[in-house]
Amino acid sequence: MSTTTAEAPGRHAPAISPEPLLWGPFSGGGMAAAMLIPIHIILMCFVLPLAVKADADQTLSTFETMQLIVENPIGMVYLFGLCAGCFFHAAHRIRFVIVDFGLHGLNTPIAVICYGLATIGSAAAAVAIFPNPLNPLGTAY
Amino acid sequence: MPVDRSKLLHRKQNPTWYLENHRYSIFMLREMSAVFVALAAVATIMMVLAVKAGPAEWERFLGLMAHPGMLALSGVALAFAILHSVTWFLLAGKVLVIRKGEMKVPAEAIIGGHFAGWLAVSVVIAVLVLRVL
Repeated sequence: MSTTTAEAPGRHAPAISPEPLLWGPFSGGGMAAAMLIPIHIILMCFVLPLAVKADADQTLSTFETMQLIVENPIGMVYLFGLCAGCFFHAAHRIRFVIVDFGLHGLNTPIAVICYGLATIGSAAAAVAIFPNPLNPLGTAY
Repeated sequence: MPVDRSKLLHRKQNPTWYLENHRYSIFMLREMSAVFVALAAVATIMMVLAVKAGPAEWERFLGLMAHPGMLALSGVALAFAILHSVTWFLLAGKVLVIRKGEMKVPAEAIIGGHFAGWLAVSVVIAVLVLRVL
C-alpha cells in the first residue's frame, strides 16, 4: 500500500496531465477549421442561398448535389470529422478565454463544461450525419 | 512551511487586459474566432438534417440563410473564420519543424505551403458543391 501523497511538502508526485491528449483534437480540429470553414461558410451561407433566391429552379439541382454528398460514406465521415474537430478546437480555445478573463481558480470545472459540450455536440453531429435509429430522417434513404 | 502556489502563479489581472495592447486585442479576437467556428459546425449539422428531410426542408434552410440578419451574421462569421485560418497558418510556420536532409525547411515555405493548400482545398470543395466541372 502506498503512503505517498501528492500533497507531501517539498515533493511533487509525477503529475499525469490530460493536456497532451487534449492538444490533439485542438490542433487537428484547428487545422480542419482553418482549411475548410471559410469555403464552407462562403458556399453554405452565401453562394447557395443567394443562387436559389435569384433562381428558384436551382433549388432541386442544389438539393440533389447535397443529397449525394450527405449520403456518401466518405461525405459522412468528412462532415462528422469537420464538426467534431471544430467543436473540440472551439472548446479548447473558449476554455482558456474564460480562464484568462480571470477565473483561474475554476480551471477544472470550466474544462469539464467546455469539453463536455464538445462531446455532446459531436454526439449530436454523429446522430445527425450517420444513418441510425435515433435519426429517422437518416434511415429514410 | 508549504507555500500557497496558487498565489505565486497568478498575479491579479485587470479584467480588460486584452484592450491595453494591440497585440493582446488581436490575440483575443483570434481566440474569439472559435465561437464562430463552432457556430459554423452547428449550421453544418442543420444543413445535413435539412437535406435528409427532403427538398422542401432544403429550400427552407436556404431561405433562412438568405435572411438579411443571417447574412450579416454569416459575414461576421466569415471574417472570424478567415482570421482563424490566416493566424493558424502563420503559427504553423513557427510550430512545425520539417527537415529535408540536413536542411530545415524555412518557415516561409511551410506558411506558403499551407496557404497554397488552403486555396487548393477551397477550389476542390467549390467545384464539387457547385458542379462547375
